[in-house]
Amino acid sequence: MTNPIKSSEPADVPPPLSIVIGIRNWGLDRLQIALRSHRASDIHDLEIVISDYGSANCDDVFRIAETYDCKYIYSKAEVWSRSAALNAGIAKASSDNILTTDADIIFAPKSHGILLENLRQMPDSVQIIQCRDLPEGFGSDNLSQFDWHQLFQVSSIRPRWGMGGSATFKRDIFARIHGFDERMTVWGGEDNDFVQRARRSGAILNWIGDPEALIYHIWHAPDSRGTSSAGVKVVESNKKILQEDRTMVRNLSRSYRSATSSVPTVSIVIATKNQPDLLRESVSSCLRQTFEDFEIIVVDDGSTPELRPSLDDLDDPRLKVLLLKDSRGLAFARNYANAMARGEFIAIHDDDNLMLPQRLDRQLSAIVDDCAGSYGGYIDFDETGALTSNPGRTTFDFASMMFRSPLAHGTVLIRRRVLEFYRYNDNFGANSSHDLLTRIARGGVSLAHCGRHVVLRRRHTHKSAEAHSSLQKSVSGISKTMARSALSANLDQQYLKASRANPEADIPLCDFIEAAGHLPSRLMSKRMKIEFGENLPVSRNISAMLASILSDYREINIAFGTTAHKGIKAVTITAPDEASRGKIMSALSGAGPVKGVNEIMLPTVYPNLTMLEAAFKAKTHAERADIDVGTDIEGVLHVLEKHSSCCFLSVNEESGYRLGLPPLDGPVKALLCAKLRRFGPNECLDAGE
Amino acid sequence: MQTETVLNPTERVTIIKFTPEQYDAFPLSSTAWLDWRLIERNRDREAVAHAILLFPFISGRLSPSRGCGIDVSQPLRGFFSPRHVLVEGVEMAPARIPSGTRTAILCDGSYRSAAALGAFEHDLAIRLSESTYTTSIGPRNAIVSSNFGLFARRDGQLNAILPTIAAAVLFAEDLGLARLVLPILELTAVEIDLFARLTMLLAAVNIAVEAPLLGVGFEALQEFLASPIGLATFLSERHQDRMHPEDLTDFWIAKLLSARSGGEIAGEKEAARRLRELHEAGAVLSDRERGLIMPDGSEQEPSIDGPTSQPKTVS
Repeated sequence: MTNPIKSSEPADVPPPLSIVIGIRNWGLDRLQIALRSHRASDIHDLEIVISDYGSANCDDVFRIAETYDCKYIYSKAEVWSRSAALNAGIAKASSDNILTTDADIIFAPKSHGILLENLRQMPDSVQIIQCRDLPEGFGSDNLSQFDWHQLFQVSSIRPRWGMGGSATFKRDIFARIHGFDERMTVWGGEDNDFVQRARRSGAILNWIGDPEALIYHIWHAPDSRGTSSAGVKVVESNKKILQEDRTMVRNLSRSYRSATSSVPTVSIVIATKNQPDLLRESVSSCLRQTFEDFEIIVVDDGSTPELRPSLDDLDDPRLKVLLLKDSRGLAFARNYANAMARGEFIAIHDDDNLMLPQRLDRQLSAIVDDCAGSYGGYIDFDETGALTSNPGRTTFDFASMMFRSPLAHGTVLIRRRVLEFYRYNDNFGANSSHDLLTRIARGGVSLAHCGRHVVLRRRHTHKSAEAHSSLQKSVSGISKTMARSALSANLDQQYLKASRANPEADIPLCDFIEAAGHLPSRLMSKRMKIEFGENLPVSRNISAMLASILSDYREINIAFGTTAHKGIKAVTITAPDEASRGKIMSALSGAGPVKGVNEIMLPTVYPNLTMLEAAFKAKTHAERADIDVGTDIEGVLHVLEKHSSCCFLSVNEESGYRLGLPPLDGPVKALLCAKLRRFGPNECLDAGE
Repeated sequence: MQTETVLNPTERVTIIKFTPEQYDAFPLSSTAWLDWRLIERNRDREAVAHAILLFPFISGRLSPSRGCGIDVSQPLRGFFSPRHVLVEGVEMAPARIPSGTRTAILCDGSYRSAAALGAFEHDLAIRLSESTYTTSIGPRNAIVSSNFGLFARRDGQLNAILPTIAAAVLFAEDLGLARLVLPILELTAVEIDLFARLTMLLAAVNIAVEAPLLGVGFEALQEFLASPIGLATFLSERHQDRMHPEDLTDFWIAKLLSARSGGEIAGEKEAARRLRELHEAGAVLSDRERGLIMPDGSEQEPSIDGPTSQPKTVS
């Protein structure tokens, strides 16, 4: 946690350059010499931020900061982390131009100006000055004056192992890659890692060749890092991150938002019209993201009445609502939102979908090497809470865009610069997104699948949705035709073959179960699962007790033992309140010893976890084929305990009960059908065969 | 950066392959392509085209697969200044550098290119298009399907048109080009030096580059602009992702200039209002263009409180 002890008010005109120095229990004499060199720069209005990462002598550091008119921030910390110190300092810096350096590096007077000039000419770059090491005898005791000519003569060039003690860059690069990696503790490797990621994100590394840009490392006795066993471990750990981690964006659990930091890492853009309630639910889901450095841009495409009031109480400075007085269509509104976005990445989001809380975190983590973004799977849901998993395809490419849809547009997170070049075509009344993604794929832009579901997509059933859907199909057909007509028949076939070879992404079941928990609360119900110490044998008494529960609570899920010892292992019942739960417990505890009671939240439409799992595996939500089984619960349970792991009983509105079963293998299903026939008409089960 | 020009297996698409090295940046796409089969491939022009296309991403070293001549290597190094870029594969032996006779205007779909087409004699107009799926080449027009535009920086008229220049250099020999005309009205402070270095670089491969509109006043420019209807058609053809040319700043700049020259005060005010709206909605205007919408001709930002159709920001 950062606790600013002193910070000056943000100036109206930002300084040309913010120098950020990370420090912890360092020689204060060296710090003063370094500060003196910065204050002697040809550029006079430099801001210096001293980021103290837990110094024991913080009062002394603070006094020095005051003397040299520096901004001072203090972070409580047990272990030195140069990365974390610099990130904390940059978050509080006021300039868009950032110079990170150490407390033992001195800068020749023209260096800052040369850095700024290089940055002006190469805004998307990390600028480095070759450091020169001062020899013994040129430590803090001997630098009361700077004789720059002498320092040059006695110093030796430091090989380009690292970044030589400084790095200068624009604040938007910091936002894009989200700072120095804070997993790298102590120091070593964090500069190289930062630059590698900056390069993958489109920034060049420039070693300044101007002979007047000079920096020197003040001589001091070597530190102990790398000699102790703990130090060796740190060095190895940092090295491993540097060499093996291919991701671009880091520190996803941290936030560097502040009053002075103005560049969000992500802009979530939402175009909307006339859906205030759904929009509110959608925006609320965005505000629950675990990754916090984002802004939300909502463009209201001429809603009547205006939708803004529905968002008024979502009091979050990250939310911006823009109003188009006249409706111009979805594509126009999306282009409009993209043009207003300031984030380095744009997360496309639909106004009726729900963003899963870890969407940004997972999609940013998936951006590796030189990928320009990522996408993920989605889960369709409807107003009954029924879910269908759509994992998408593993590869986003031109072939797949032409012949199948490898991804859902509303799951895309992509560099803003890509969408500055590729725009939605507002001539298309619908599905301009397919055309856009096809052009992006043709352009060779790489997007990675993040391996998870990232949104819950609302499935509409009303007629206008159907009409819209057919228009969408027609537009995507035009888009595909344009793409395919430019190809020879032979190449067309090659692309078709390639698209078929693009496998479906493999998303783990646990992700689906976790995602289901984020449905709107009205579609969820709380279940009480009672597990027995010993399986209850099916008997007349038990059946009577279950019948009694069914008459009160209408439905019950029963799990059977799977070992040789059959019987009822657990029951799950929808229990709306505390009183009901007490009543159920007292009824069931009379039947046998209770091993445990758990409360679980499930979509209302699924009686138990097994059915939810079945929906995931089936990749579709099929209506449950419930069957009438009359009133003989005991007889039915005797049959089921031998052939099924669980069943679902509910009260039939006419008479008797209805039975739901998990997906079963064909022969088992046939056998059960035959055996259950004597309890009722069994039509559904027959039809299902 | 290691670079190479190859034809894809269909032999219809020219690909610039590149491999970033230690100091280079990675572009947004891992390949650059043109839907155009190069017939003549001059080694030096190839190296120059690679340098221009990948200009924002190269630092440290440029290694074109076929190398380049000694007389091109020096301007190549200079082109990247103040970056220190080593050029590899420099060949000392003399080699032919082709020359042409024709003039091409490079178009970017702006009102400036519309004016340039009206103002200057030319043999060919060339533009890149990411949304067309095939290239169209005729005696007077070439619309080149390509993703080159993805490699441009957007800050400045010269930076934005570098990919089109790179494409023109690649097929300069096939089309007999000797002179490229750029529709540039103003340069940013950084671009002024860049333009000088670019001129030297292209001169080394026998291609002249000019920006005759540079510094021309808006009044003089207006003389060469088509009527608003003609301009709307011009813009519609070149911005196929837009339903209405009125959504482009180019349209309203031309309208404003036309109204101003005709003394139509109401028309000028309306055009200025629409320009302000588009600018506030994220459309980029150059310094001089911003001056058009300032009441006193200054270059200050306009007030955020625009007219009724102006989107509002609330938080």
